[in-house]
Amino acid sequence: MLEAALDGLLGVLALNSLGLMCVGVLIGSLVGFLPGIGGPTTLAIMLPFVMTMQDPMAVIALLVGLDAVGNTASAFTSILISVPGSSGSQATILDGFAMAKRGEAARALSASFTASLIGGFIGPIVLLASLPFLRPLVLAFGSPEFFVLTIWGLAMVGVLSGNAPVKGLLAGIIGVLIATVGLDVKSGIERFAFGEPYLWEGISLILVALGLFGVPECIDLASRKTSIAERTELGSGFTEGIKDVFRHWWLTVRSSAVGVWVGFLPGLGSSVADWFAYAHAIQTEKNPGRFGQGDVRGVIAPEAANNSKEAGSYIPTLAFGIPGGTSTALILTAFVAVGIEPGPEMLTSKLNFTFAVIWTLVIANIVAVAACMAFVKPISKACFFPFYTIVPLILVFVIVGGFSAHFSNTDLLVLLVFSVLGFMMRRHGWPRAPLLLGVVLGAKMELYLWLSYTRFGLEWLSRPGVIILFVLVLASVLYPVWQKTRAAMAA
Amino acid sequence: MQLQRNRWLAAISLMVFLGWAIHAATAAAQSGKPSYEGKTIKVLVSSSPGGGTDTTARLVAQFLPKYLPGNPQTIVQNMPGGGGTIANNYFTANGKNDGLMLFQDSSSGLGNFTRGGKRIKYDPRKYQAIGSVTRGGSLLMIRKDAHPRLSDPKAKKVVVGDTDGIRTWLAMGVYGAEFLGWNLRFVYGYPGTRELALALRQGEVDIWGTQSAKIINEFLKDGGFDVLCQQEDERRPGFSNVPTFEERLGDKKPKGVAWEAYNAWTGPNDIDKFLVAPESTPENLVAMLREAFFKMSSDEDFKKQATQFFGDAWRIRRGDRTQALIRDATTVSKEANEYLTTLRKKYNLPTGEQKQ
Amino acid sequence: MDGPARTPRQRNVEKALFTAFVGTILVFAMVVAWEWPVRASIIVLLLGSIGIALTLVQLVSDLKSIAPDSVPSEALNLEAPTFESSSRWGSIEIWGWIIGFLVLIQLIGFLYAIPLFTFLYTKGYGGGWFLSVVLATCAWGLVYAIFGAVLHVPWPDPLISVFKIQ
Repeated sequence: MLEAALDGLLGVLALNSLGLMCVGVLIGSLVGFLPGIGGPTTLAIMLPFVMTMQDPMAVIALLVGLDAVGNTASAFTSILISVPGSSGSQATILDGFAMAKRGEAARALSASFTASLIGGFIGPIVLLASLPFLRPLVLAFGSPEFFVLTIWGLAMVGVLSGNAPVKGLLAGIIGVLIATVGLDVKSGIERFAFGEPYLWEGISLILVALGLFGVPECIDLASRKTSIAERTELGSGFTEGIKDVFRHWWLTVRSSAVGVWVGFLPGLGSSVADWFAYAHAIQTEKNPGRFGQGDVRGVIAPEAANNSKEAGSYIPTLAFGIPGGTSTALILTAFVAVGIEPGPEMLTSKLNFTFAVIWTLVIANIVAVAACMAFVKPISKACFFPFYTIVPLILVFVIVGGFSAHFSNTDLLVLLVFSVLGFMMRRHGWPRAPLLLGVVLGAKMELYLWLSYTRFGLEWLSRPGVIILFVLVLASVLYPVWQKTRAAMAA
Repeated sequence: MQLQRNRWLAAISLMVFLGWAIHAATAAAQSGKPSYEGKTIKVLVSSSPGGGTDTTARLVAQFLPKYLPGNPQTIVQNMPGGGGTIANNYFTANGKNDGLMLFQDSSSGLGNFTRGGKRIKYDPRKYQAIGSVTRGGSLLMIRKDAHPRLSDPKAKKVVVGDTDGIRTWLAMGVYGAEFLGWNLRFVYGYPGTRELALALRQGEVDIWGTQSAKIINEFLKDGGFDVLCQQEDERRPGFSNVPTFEERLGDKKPKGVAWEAYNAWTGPNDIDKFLVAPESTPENLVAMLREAFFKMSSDEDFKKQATQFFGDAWRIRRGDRTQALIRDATTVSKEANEYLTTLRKKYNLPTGEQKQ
Repeated sequence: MDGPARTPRQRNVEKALFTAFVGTILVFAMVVAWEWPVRASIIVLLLGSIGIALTLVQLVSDLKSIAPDSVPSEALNLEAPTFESSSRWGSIEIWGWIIGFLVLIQLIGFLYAIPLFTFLYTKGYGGGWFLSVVLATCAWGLVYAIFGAVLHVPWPDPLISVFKIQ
């Protein structure tokens, strides 16, 4: 094992591999930064070049490096202009942008990158620790277990509704209904598509996220006619953010754990890791009242999670060659092309490749964070630029990013619809996060319920995994309630 | 200060204008020649990234330009959904005659067309086929611990898992249940290959079929799985000890409409992954593309990569042959179609009828 | 549209209207789903019914807050307060720009609309000539380089064909 670890490290540190890793990190960061364009698109474009490369270590360095850092740089846009640069940085917007408006952008950014750094360490460590029981771990989760997990996710809706539980629940319901748009496999009919082929695929998550979160804030900015930062003094800064992460180190570790957990489950989707961590933070931290108003913990939790989840998504990939998501599916294609066979060999004779993946996750993360940190101070000055420089740029990138979803004009229409919806929701105090969560999890919840029922009848309710998970879900929902009751009784 | 700024302004405006002018001029100059110089071909794919159809599309997209005059760029665009229906409809509605959009589809698109329904707004017989890659017939895998229950009507039913319930390999399961008395029931709705592979490993699903020799061999290496039969005319190299489905049927093989229906369901599999150009593409472009496709198949690197992805049993079919096969696969008699519908209903599989 | 600012009463009326709108969507969804086979419709009908019940609860709460003596809630608020416009037009202005931009894209295509829109907006709200041109050029340059040259995004044909690219 030690041999394999060393071999993997050397393979990745070889000059050409390292160089390619840096290229991957650069591209991955840029892509993370830009809304609408994500890991899958870039990976798909790089595939032709990669498939002609001979050195498997170099391929690992490039692709894994690219994929691993997508969620680090996306914090820039989430925090500075409330535009989700990637699907992993949506939750960061809630507190991150609020901090930017107070002139604390530098603090939010450095906290986010430090948390990303730590998350990026903890992820691979957990991956390493679970190598011996990788396979039984993946095998333990069938359709019924996934269903309970989606319920857990939807329970977060309650948490994220804050002071407006009814509106939050309604937003969640609308989100699930939006997720039903499209072709339904189990019945063979198209739902809410009204004969439009465009809608058969359903409504793209990118458009929902951009419309709900990106545009309304931009409208706000344009209406206020000031700069992003509503105050003119710089507020607390760069070093403060780093210190924050260490002040809340336990939260950082927990959030990273949540991230790996979510990343490991294929099919839950990586876009929920940050929300789970965020909701978990609200549920478990003292003084949750400041979340949403610019609490740095609301930046630390999601950013730690969205970096650790990358390592998590490699668990099913390495164990069985089952990709954890679209990005890993593409990476696997490239691996096969250069002779890296995913499957049992990755844990035995080809262990050095597995280690190469782990090392790349660690090193690429460090490189990305270092690069991002270097840009924090200059870029956060943008918060003080006049609105007429920022607004058009935001709009251009949101609209082009939205268009990149399917390269269709109809995308722009959908973007507009969700922008209006997001604007209205914000105006009337409806929490938007539950709607997004509903869209992400709704389809999966329905799917896994269907599969569980047709496959197991009602027996699935008595599976040990299901029962354990149900208990955990109940615990996580009731714990804050119990805490509040205790506090009320003590008062 | 003001003067300097104005100079900058003038310089930038001039550059922008020059850039646009050059761009427009080159575009105009190119519009006369029928070459792919400087052009980009978009290859539309009817599946999501990472699957067999997608892999084939990317392979083709990588090597086809080498053999086309002008060596164009290619981009691959995925448009999954509806078993290929969405991509097919889109391609039919948006394909132009400039040879710049090609479509990589798989047998599912043909199967859906044959089953028909309100959603089908395309006709694959009208496409101009460029060529196809077939990966060999599907192989049916079963968990060893479920195998004993297969022929025991009193035991718990063996579960067959699929994505949309209309894959061609399912025909083996359905006909096995109907004519060999296999003790089966069918569960469908799994999002894709990876979920099914996981489900098979977990025992959530007992039987699954795939064409990918790689996946099968992985399972066999793991142990705990048997290969029941293969959907081929002759046994595939590498699986020469696995009987073909027809061999398994033996003298229980149905005749007449029942067998015609079987062929209708599985026929598209012969074509597997095929590349087409829009109906309106001019003959000279089609010929150029077909020629390039054929030359590509002798490319050493192409062959190496294809074998890496698909195993040894893959072959290429030329454009005209593919076109003929498409016609054959989509010509199904009404009786055969009705037979299939009844059979599918019996086993709770989707029939393609619109209930809206 | 907006007056000098919205009065609390106006605000609450708008809130109630939005709630009613959400309820209407739910009813509509349930009506459409009624025709479907059970396995497709059950989730819509189930969640729709719950949703309609919740909408009524929320509606009552909204209408009560229109009454003069209601007090805003103090609990956890994950939504930062929205900006109350003090100008007559409020957000209509920016919506106009957004829709105008989208229309412009349809008319002359992305690569022409982007610099034009950027230039007009920046200039229109107080940017100098120099800044506006530079910003417009940068926006165009970045989009062209990243989305055009590298990603080969297939730009759709604009309605005014003179502006077609290639």
